[in-house]
Order: sequence, then structure tokens, then C-alpha cells
Amino acid sequence: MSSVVLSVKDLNVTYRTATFDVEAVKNVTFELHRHEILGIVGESGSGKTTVALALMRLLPNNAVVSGKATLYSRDGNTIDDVLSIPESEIRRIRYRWGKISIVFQGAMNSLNPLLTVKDHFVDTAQAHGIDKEEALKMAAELLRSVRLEPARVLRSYPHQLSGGMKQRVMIALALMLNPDIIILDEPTTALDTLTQRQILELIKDLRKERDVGIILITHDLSVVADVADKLLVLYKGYVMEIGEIFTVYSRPYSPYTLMLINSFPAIGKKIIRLKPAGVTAKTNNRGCPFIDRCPFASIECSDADMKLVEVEPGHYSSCIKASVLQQQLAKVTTSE
Amino acid sequence: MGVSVPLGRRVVNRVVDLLHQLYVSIVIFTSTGQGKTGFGLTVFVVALALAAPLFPYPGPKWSNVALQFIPPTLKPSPWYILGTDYLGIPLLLDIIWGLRYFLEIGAIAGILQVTIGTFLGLLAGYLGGFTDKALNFTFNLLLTIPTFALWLILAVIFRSGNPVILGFILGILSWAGLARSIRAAALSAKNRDYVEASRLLGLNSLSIIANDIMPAITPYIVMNFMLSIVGGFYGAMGLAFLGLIPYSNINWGAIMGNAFYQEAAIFSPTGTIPVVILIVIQTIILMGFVYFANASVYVFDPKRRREVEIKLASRRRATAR
Amino acid sequence: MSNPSQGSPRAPAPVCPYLQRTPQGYVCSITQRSVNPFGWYCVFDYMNCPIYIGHLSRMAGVKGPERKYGEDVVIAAEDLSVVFKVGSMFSKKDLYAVDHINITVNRSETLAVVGESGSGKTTLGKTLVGLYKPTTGRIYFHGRDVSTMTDEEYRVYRLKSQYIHQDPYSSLNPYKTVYDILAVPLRANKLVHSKAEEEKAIFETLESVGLNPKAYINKYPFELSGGERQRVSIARALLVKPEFVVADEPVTMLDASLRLEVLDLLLSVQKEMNLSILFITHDLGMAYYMAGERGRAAVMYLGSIMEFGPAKEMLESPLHPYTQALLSAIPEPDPTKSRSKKVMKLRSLDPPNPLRAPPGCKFSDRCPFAMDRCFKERPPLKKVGNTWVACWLY
Repeated sequence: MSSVVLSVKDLNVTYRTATFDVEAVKNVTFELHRHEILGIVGESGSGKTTVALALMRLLPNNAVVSGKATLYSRDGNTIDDVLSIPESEIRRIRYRWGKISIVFQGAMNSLNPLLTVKDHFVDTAQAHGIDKEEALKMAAELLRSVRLEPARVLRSYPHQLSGGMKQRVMIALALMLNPDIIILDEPTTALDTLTQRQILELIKDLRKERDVGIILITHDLSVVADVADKLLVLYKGYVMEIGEIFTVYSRPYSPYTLMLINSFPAIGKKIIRLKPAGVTAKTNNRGCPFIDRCPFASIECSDADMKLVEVEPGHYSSCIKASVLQQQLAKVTTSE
Repeated sequence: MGVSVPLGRRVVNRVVDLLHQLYVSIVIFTSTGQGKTGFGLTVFVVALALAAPLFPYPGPKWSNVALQFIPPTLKPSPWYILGTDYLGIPLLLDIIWGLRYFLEIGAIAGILQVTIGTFLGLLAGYLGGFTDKALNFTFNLLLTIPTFALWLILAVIFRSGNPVILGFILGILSWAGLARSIRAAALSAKNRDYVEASRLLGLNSLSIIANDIMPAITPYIVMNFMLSIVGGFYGAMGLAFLGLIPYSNINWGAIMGNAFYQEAAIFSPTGTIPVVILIVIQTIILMGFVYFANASVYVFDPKRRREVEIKLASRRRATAR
Repeated sequence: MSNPSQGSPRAPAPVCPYLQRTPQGYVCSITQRSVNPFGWYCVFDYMNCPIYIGHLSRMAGVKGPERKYGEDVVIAAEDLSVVFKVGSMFSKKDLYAVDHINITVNRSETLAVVGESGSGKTTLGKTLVGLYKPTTGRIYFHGRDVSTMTDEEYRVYRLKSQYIHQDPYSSLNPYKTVYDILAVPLRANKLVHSKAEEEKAIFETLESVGLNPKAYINKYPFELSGGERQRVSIARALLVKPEFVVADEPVTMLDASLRLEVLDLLLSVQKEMNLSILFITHDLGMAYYMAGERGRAAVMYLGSIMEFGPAKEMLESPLHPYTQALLSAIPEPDPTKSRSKKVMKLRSLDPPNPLRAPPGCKFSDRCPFAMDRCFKERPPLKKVGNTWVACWLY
């Protein structure tokens, strides 16, 4: 059996409003394997949260979705067209939480301050037809798997727990029905550096111990560099580059990825700063969205179709200059 | 740049600019259904109240006992379109002049409340510390006083039908609620980062209040002003109904009072009609004021103003071509 | 004496004693060059004007103890503590947000203050510019004790020390245009004497932060992006020609690809204006970027400084266990480096509670190297090589 758990092809999401349409996600394509962490990196406006919501089928009514997503569950069932099956079917197969779950950004604030942690587990379980006894057993085991002490945590209220502990409770809740995929949206923002480290170690352990595919969404490249196996770079809804983390980092084939890598200063690291080439985008909505900031842009970029092209085995880029990028980069770094 | 503009020109520019801002405000008002109703009604009511002198005064000349409490009719003249009151005077004239009377009371009460309330609320909210604790205590204390009972007592003591005095009575002690809400708004504005930045940049407290705090609380002031007028209106009506204001026929409350006591209103058709007419008109007017108050919040939002300006500019460009 | 925590007192703009008023305008009586008081147009970059600096030295020696600290020290904190009272009405406890800190910032240097949330770094920054009043201890501006300053000197201190907020979405008045936001400090401090001067000052400052003046002066803050707002914030701080700026996590809330531009802007402005920057951050990488070349760094934990010294040395080979723990905990953007890093194991996973700090060293409940002494006595800052460390290991 192949280890692919999710396959997404040409995912497009457009938000329709009274005055204009917002194309949030454009032709996003990727694959997720079991025991793999896919890091989706993007800044504000990149569409990364929209991708997560689309996969969870939690988009608002004014969102128009197209594309194909297939989920290969570990119980042998394959759900074709995850994006287009009707809501009734979604509920019948217990898609949300049973097959795929999500820990939202600022999840610590998603806990009901009036309920204890135990109540949270029991409520969630009962909503999915699991009885209370079973739920409590599962809760204890899940809390142990996220390195929390069940006895103390179960009877605590959210305000009695620290930020890191709340985040771990949310992760435990997300694992409750043993989903095939778990999405983590900015799991470490608003946490202390030291607590952040614990959560990242926990995510790495989850990847080893459990049979899940993990999608990690963040704007922080360092977080992804630390835990992810594959990196997907999003900019203004387009996939700019996707590939294994080590290869993308050492040989970026998209100028945006390059700029992103050089936006995170680190101790002892040399930052490459390049000026934009000054090419202005044409007014129509086509072409590469990075054209006005790209140091390697030229007039052809405004007609680019942003299709992903394999530049190395398993490494894809949508930049039309990908093949010459490495040489140009070498020129720039040696000239300094 | 660098050329100094003559004073006359500057004044003209300022006036034009102010008129433009007024126009933008009106556009924002009329952009919602509620806003349209509120704005229209308020403007209409205020205009009518100001234009009252254009209508004949419902004085003794008009009194005609034979025509007491007749239902709406066009005879003997169109003035009788809403019927008559206890003295046979056309209700329409009573209403128009009464409107002027009550609005005056309401406006004076409103101005008093807003001035005192804003001043003390700002003081409490911005200064904090002991001043705040003392003032807050005062506000809460005043709020526990039953205002209507107080009004009754004051009305009996002063025994005046003068609208200014009545406005004063109604406004002088009911500012506590407004003060509390202004205090809350000032407190929240005070803790914003940009106020801190202003302090660092050398602005004194007065400048900070004028520059940073006032724009944030102006919507509250306008809303509360409109609502104070409504409150004053009702208060005066109530006092009049109870007969605590010297009798005068333009006094709607008196009319209603008479209708109840003399003509057994709600038990008899002739008595009921004036009461119903007055209630309906009152409700519509005050509803208009409340809608105005609601819609006025958007007028101060710079985002809305910018949107409207852009729309107007593009429309102008479209017609210019 | 004015109350420092309530905004600056009203006083006429301070004026250099060598400034003469002539029918043609203001003239420096030493150099006979025409100047503008307080120097918006001062022909000498008055930050280096020997007359002005001499005037400051004279201010420092005027009353009280002799001038403390050298010529180069712009801001110094001596045994500074800021204590807040927290708790309910019946059980008020003291929270030492800043706990007996000694720190100096030199002219034209960047001092990076690194710490997590709750370390007191923001409180320290705000106290140094005068927004909070110190509970104990003193602050010295150009060697002059702030608590004994005259109104005029205090005004100079407040204007010369500026602060850049972390959140660009609440640091600008949403009801005013960019022009008005920038005009206000100029007018309030009488730095300009005509509309033309005002316009020129605003245009120049906007250009110096990389914003095209014609495009931005009529915009409201809600029409600007986070990066643009932050630039306006910086412009506003620079308008009064400060000597010392506290930048409190200025780029944390901006998108990653915009951060370095703003940081570079700060660095270039620093060079131009000989500005001292206190750069507050929780990100060691950014601390290295800003101060790594020639600056210093201080690591704060629960209100105290744990390590303090030249940034490059300190961040590349930290001495204090807390600094080491921080360094090992932060994820590196380079996957190869990140995964080969050894993670330091701390004894306790709970984050610290500032109200229940351990009696000895504040880090003793989590430090993997804690010895007996660490639980009982609080270690003082001791010089080890070029760095000061508060740890009993040394």
C-alpha cells in the first residue's frame, strides 16, 4: 500500500463578495504521506489558512471551491472528491475529526473557560457517539501521549493551565478519533521560546509514534526547518515551490523562497539581500504575483502560467526562470 | 509650497472644506435605511419646530367650545385636519407649537447633560486615581436617585412653564449615566498606544484630550445628546400629564390629561382620538431621533468617510468626461 | 518638580545659551551661522554641536552630585526597580517587573535586550524613556539624575528619548491623517515656525523612512499596511531628533519578508543620526542582526539581567545557563543546523511565575546545573572575560 494519505490537485478557492471576488488559493497541488510533516509556509494573504479550511470543509458559504482532493484512509477506504461530496456525506463518514482534524491558531483560546478539560473530552466524544467511560480512558491515554499528567490536567479549568499545556490539550483533543491527517495552524505563536521547543519536540514525536500525516501551517520558516520533512511555499495563493526541506533550503528554485530564507536572521548566518529588478506587473490578474519584488524578474514573468515544474526529483518550482536561478545565485554570492 | 495664502482665501477654503465634510456626513447618514429615516425625520422635526412662528398661534382667538374634541375633519377649515382639543382649538396648531416647546426643553436638558457629563466623565476617565474614584462614586450615587421623583419635586418647587427652567430641571441631575459611559470610553482610549506616544512626544494633557481622546468619544457624545433630548421630551410630557406644569393648551401632556379626565379617553371615541394622535406622532418623532443617534456613529468613522469620498470623486470624474 | 509618570510639564522650549536672536533670525553666537532653535535646520548637526553638548555637560554639573558616567553614556539606570502591585483588594503582592537593574547605553550603539514574555523587558524600556516611574533606583540622562532635573532639563530628556511601539495597528491615531500625526509633535514642541517649515520637515522625514511623501500624507492609518505604519511610527519618533530610541519588538508583528527592511532602516538612521537604540526582542537571531557587529546584548529573566556583554561573543558562546537554554531552544531557519542542535533539558517544564520566584537564583528551579548555593543566594553580576554573568558557576 502506498504511503500517500492525501493527494490535492489544483485546489482553487475564491471568496465571492458583493463588490468583488478574492482569489485566495490558486491551483495548489501537493501530496501528503503517512509519518510525514508537510510544512506550508506563507505570509499574511498567502492563503495558507484557506487551504486548511478547504480541506476541513469549513469554508463559509461565499467560498467557491474547485479542484480534487483524495484521502486514503488507513482503514482501506478511499474518499474521492473530499472537496465536493455533500455535507450529509461528510457527517456520515465522520470526516471532520474522524479522518482529519485541526488545531487552530490561538487554539488556547478555543477552550471553553467554563468547562474542565475532562468535560471537553467527554463532550467531543459524545458528539461522535463514544460513551463516557470509553472517552475518559481515551482522554487519559491521549494526555499521556502529549506528555501531560492526566490526573491533574483532567480536572483543571483552562485558566489554571499554562499556554503550552493548553496547546497540548488541544492537540490531544485533535487526536481523539485517531484521524489520518492532523492540521496544525501556527501552533507555536504566542508561546515562549522554551515552551515552543517542547511543542516542536512533541510534534516530532507524534510523527514517529502515530500513523498520521501532519500539515504544519506557519509563517515562521525556522519552525518548519526544525520539524518538517517537506516544504510548500505559498505566496498570494500560488505555490511557489515544493520539495524536501533540505533540498529546498540549500537549493531554492524560486526567488520568493530565497527571499524568505534570507528574511530570518540567525546567529552566524550570512544574509543575502537582493534588490527588486523593478519590473511592474501588468494590470490584469495574470502572471507571477512576486514580479514587483523579484530581483530576477523580467517582462515574460507577467505572462507566467505558474505551473509547477519538476526541477529536481521530488522538487517542484513554479518560477519560469527556475533553471537559470541557481547560476544567477552563484554569481551573486561570489560577487560579495 | 512656501507661498503664504491670503487670509480671505484661507477662510473661504475652510468654509468650503467644512461644507464638503457636511455633505459627506449626510451621504453617510443616508446610506442605510435607518439612517435615512432618522436623518429625514430629525431634519423635518427641527425645521418644523423652528418654523412654528409661520403658523398661527393657537391662542384664545381660536378657542371655540362648540368645537371641543371633534374628530379630524376639513370643516370649517383645513387646520382642523387632526381634530381639536379641550378648548376647540385645532390640534394641528397645538402640535406644531407644542413640538417647539418640548424640543426646546429637550435641547436644553440635552446640552446641560452633555456638557456636564462629558466634562466630568473625561476628568474621571483621563485623570484616574483618586479623582476617578471620587467622581465615579458620585456618578453611581446620582444614578440611584429616582430621577422622576426628583423632577416632580423640583417642578412643584419652581412651578414654572418656562421651557428654559424646565430644561434646566430635567438636565441638571440626570447626566450621571452619560458621564459613566464617557468615562468608560475615555479610559479605553487612554490606554491605547498612540496616546502613550503622544505623551512621549511632549503633548500636554489638554492636547492629548483634544487630539486623541475626543475623536474616540465624539460618537458617544452625539448619540447621548440625541437620547437626552428624547429623555427630556418624555420627562416634560410626564410632568405635564400629571399637571405639574402650569396649564397651557400647547402642552401636549395637558391635552392628553384633559382627554383622560374630561373626556374619558380610551373609554369614549372623542377622547381617544387626540390621545392616539399624540402618541403616534410622539413615537414617530422620537424614533427618528433614536435612528439619527444610531446612524451618527458611522459619520465619525474615518474609514467610511474615505470610502464615500472615493465614491464621490469617481462619480465626479465619470460625469466630467 | 514635575511628576514624570504623567506627561511632560509645560515649559518653553529649551534653548542653547549661545543662541542669539537677531532681526534676520536666530544665530549661533560662537560660529555666527544661522540656526533654528532646537536645531531642526541647525547647520551644524547639532547632535554633534560642541556647544550643545557643552550645554548638556553644564546642566549635568549644575546641581546634585558630580557628573556620573562618561561622556559617551546617554542613558544609565542605577539599581532600577519597577514594582507593580497585583492581586485582589485584600491580598496585594509586589511584582518586581524590573528588579534592581544596572544598565548603560552609549552614544550611537545598539543594545539588544533579549527576554521572553514576563521578563520585564518592555517595562524596562518604558521606564527608561519616562513612561513609568521607577519605584527605586535612578535613571541618568547624560549623567544627570532624572528625578532631580529642572522642568526644562526634564523636557529635553523626554523629547530626546523616544519609543517605538510593537503593535503598528494601535500606535497611530486612527482618526488623523499621516500629515496630522506627524505635524502634532512639531507644533506641540514649537519646532517649526511656519507652515512651510512644517511641510518641509514632514516631507524630509517621510523620505528618510522610505515613504514617498506625496503619496502618504493624506492617508489614514487604516489605508496603510503594517510595514508602512511602522515606518510612520519611526518617522514620528525621529521628528524630534531623539538621541535615544527604545524599539520594542518593532518588527515582530510584521510579515517576515518585510522585517529586514525595517531593521535596516533603523540601522541606517542610527548611523546618520548617531542614535542609541535599545532593541527589545525575544528573537536571538534578530538581536544578533541588530547588535551583532559592534553592539552589546543583555539577557533578562524575571526582571533581572542574567548576562550582559558584547553581543557577538555572548550570542555565539553564551555563558549563563539560561542564555544557553534559549539558544538551544530557538529553531534555526537552517534545517541542517536545527536538527543537529542539542536541546538542553530543563528541570522543570512549567513557565516561571514572577510572583513566586525562587529565593536564590531566579533560574534555579529550572537550571540543569543548579548547585546548593543557587537555591539560597542570588548571584550578583560578575565579570568573566568581556561579559557580565549572574551565575554561581563562575
